[in-house]
Order: sequence, then C-alpha cells, then structure tokens
Amino acid sequence: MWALAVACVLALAFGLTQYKEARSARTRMQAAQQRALFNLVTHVENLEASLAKARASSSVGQQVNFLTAGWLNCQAARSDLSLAGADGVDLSGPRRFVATVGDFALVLSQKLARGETVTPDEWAELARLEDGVKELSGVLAKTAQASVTGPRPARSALLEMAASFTRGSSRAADSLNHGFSEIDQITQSIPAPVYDGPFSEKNLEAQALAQPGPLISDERAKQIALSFLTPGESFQSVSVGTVEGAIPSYVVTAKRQDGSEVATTVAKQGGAVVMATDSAPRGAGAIGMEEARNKAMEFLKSKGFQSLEETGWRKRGANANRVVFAYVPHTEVSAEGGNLKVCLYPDTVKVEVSLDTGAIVSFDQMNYLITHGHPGRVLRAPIISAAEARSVLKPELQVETAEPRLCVIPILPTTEVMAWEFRVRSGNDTYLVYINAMTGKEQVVLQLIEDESGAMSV
Amino acid sequence: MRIKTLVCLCAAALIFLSTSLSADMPRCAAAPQSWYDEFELLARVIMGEATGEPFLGMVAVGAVIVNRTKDPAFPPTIAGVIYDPDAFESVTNGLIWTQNPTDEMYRAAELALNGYDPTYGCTFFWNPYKPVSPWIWTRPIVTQIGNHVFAY
Repeated sequence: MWALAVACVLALAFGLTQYKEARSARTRMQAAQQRALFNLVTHVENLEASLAKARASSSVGQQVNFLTAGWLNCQAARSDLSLAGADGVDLSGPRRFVATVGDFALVLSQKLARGETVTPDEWAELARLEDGVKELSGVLAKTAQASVTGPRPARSALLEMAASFTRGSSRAADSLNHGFSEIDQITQSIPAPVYDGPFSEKNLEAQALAQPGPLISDERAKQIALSFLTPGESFQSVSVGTVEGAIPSYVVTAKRQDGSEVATTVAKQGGAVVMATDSAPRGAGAIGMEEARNKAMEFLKSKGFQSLEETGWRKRGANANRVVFAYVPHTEVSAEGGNLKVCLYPDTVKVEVSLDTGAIVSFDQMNYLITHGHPGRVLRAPIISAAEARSVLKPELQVETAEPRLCVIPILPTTEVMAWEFRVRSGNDTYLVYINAMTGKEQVVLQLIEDESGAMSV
Repeated sequence: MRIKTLVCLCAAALIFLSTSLSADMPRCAAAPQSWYDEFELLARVIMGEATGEPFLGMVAVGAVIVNRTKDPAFPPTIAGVIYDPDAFESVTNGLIWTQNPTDEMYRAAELALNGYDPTYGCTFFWNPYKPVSPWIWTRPIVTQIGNHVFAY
C-alpha cells in the first residue's frame, strides 16, 4: 500500500516537472514570437516612412538613401514574418508583398545611383505600394496590441495544466490568427508593380523556349540516357518518369545492384540531355586536376560542345574526391576592325569529374538550353572600347588583365548586358569588374576567391 | 522486501527520467553548432524528409529548399527556409538531429547547392499517399520522384 502511494507521488512529481519544462518552453516560444511581431511593426512603420521620404526628397543622394533604407527594412520584415507567424495562417502572400516592395525600392535606388532617372510612373507605382504598406502597418499595430493580453491571473500549475487541455487556443493566439489572416487578405489584394527586378512577375515567370527537333518517345529517351554517362553499362532496372515545367522531359532512372543509380533527364522535344547524375560511391582521389580537366573537356567534346571555356571549379566530396567545372560558350560580334569574341556567361554548362577514376559523375546544361540561341538575345558591337572601359576603373586598382574580355553577363533572370571584364587586384584581394560595353558604367563587381578547393566569384 | 526493492528501482528510474529525458531529447528549436554550415543543415533535412527515397528524390528535396531561397514568398537563406515554423515536419519534431546523414545524402545536398535541380524550380513537395492540407493540392504538380510529388 505504502509502495503504491510512494509510486503515485513520484509519478505526480515527474509529471509536474515535465509540465513545468513544457510550459517554460512554450512561454519562451511565445515571447520570441511576440518580439518578432513587435519588430515587424517597427520595420513596416520604418518602411512606410522611408518610402514617403524618398518621394518627398528632391535630392538624388537622399532619395537613394531612403530607398535603400526601405529595402533594408523590407529584408528585416521578411525575417520577422518567418518568426511571427501564427498557426494555420499562410504567410506567403505578406512575404511576397514585402519582398516585392523592397525589390522595387532597390531597383529604383540603383537606377538613381547609376545616374538614370526614375520616371513619374515609377514614383506613382511607389506611392501606390506605400498606401498598401500603410494599410498593412495599421493592421499589424492592432494585431500586436491585441496579442498582448496583459498579466495572467495567478493560478496553480495544476489548474493551468487542466486549462491547457480544455482550451484550443489562447485569446492571444486567436487575435494573432485573425490579424495575420487580415494581413494576408490585404497583401493579396495589392497588385504587384510592373518593373524589372529579381522578384518582378516578369522574371519569376520566365519560361524556356521549346528545344528544336521532333518529340521523342520514352523508349528513345531511355536509349539516349543509357548511352550518356555510363555507355555500355547494364543495370538491374530502368524506369522512366516525366517532369513538366521549363523543358518538359523524361527522367530515366537506371538502378544498379548496390542501390546506386544513374538519373538522366532528357528533353521530350529534341532529345537533348538536360542533366544527368551518377550516385555511385567514389573512392579516394587518384588523378590530378589537369587529368580531371582533360577528362571533362573530352566528355564535352564527345557530346558536341566544341568551344567551351572553363570559368571556375570547385572540389566536392568528404575527401575532396570530386571536382565540378563550369564552362561557358563563345560567340562573335562584328565590330570596326574585325570580329570580337564574346563570352556568354548565362549559358553555363557544368561537369563533375570523380578524382578516383576520372569518371563523369554529373552534367548540367539547363541554363545553356534555356538561354543559348534565344531569339531575344541580340548582340551588337560594343559602343565603348576596351580602352575607354579601362579608364572607368578606379586608378588605384592594379589591373591584371592584359586584354579585357568582352562578355554577356546575366543581371536578372531575363535581363543580360554586354560588358568588358577586368581582373583587378586591391591589396590581397582579387576582383572581377564588369564595365557595361554600351553605357561605359560600372555594372557589377565580383570578388574572386581562389584556394586549394576551388576558384569562385561572390 | 521484494516490493520495496521494486518501488525503490521505480523511483530511481523516474527521478533519472525526469532529470535526463529532456536533455537527451532532440531540441528542434536549438540552433546548430557553429561548425554546421548550410550544407550540413541541408543534408540533415534531406535525411529527415527523404530517407528511403531514391537518390534523385533526395536531390529534389534539397533543390526545393534552395529554390525557396530565391522565391519572395519564403525566407532568403537556407537556414531561414529550414527553420521556417512548421515548414518541415522533421525539423519541428527534431528528427533531423537524431542521426547523421549518409554519404548519399551529403552528395544530394552538394548537388542541390551546386544548382542541380531535377524539379525545374519547384518550391513544394509532399507525399500524396499521406493526409495533407487540401490547399497543397491546388499547386501545379511538375513531377513525381519516389513517394514525393513536386509542385510550384
């Protein structure tokens, strides 16, 4: 009898300890959620003020400052929205709205910083978005106020526990749900601005062109896939699926006895291999970088790529036993004094080589298939000469490039520009500076990071 | 005498459990240690969401997370997407911290971070054989790989 009583007391003590921990964790979580909500209110209010000041200011420098501050507040508000969310409410609408407003503000500030003019229509679009932000700000402030329910009546832990079993949600949670639903409706009702930025509808909905050639059957796709990465190999099973989207394709998956697989995506129209990968485990590196480079180039030539240029590489794998090479093709534009070679950065092709045997373990030409030969790409001779572009660089930079490279660089998913590429040094750091070949303005600056594991730009 | 011993053992076990259980349980809210980078985190979510799936299905789950970072409706970082409240069940219930990813999962994470995207830009995936929110079925499905469908 005594034993039963002791066991009951211990079980009760255990239960209470666990309950207290759970309650404490829940309180901490609610506090973090409320902090994010109040931060969100502040950031949206600051956003509204920044947009209003940008419109009111007559100085270009001040306009750039306010628009950039608006973008920064949008970034902070996006982060707050991730933490302040309420159960069961989809916040993708408010997030998209806030991100688009920030993106639009940044695009306008960049235009002004490049010396271009913001049109009256663009200012009007900004005013319309500002009205939306104002409405959002009002609802957010009300939601934040309602979420603070004040000090709770003192209750015993047991009563609190019983209450938590019976009530579905607290008043604070109910008001949060209601507030966020209202915010969602407001943001869904505001049309997105028409502009050219990374989050503009035009760029988010960019579609690939249909690939040339006839439609192929799944049997033909299987043949193409099996002769691509590991020609001649026999597999335990081969299955064919499909993928829709940018380039409707067959997905051919060939399984080996050990469970590893070779998956190859083949375009339904034309039969080009879009991407392929081999998941077989690989051994330790036995071949050098030069041999790997030659293997990658041999592979590309065997697939019909004749004039690709390597633009970067990165070692991968736990023991750095694989290396990924990135390549771009060239084209030519006619200019005074002869044709000029142009490097097409958006048309990247990637090849991964295993350093144990030199086998090709992945290939990806999705970008190449989307952009190469796109009729929207019209290349004209540069207006700015290489020497004129060089004069735009900061004098204190040490230029390493003997002859700058003329190239097409992607600015947005659907926008690209022709630019002169200069490799420059400043102190111990190396940069790639791109000068727009049509306007002579500095377009992009990338920092080049080179070490024993790879060469890449950020 | 035997009953007393049993009671003592039960009491000891209960006390041990009450002090140690919470410490050993996976803490989904805990931030990863500083040596975990986005690659490690991505491999762990692939483990949590795609264990038992074909290799391409693992890459596809990683690609969905990478695609979300480029979509204005989602947070702009890998960690932000992964820790988005209730975005991934394996993060919410702490499954991602209960075991280590396999080499295959690390390779899938590498490929996804390298831009390899067998879903062509999808931002959602779910198991159509399990109960899910009806809303998710309004998304246009692009492909099915293993037990997951992938949608925009």
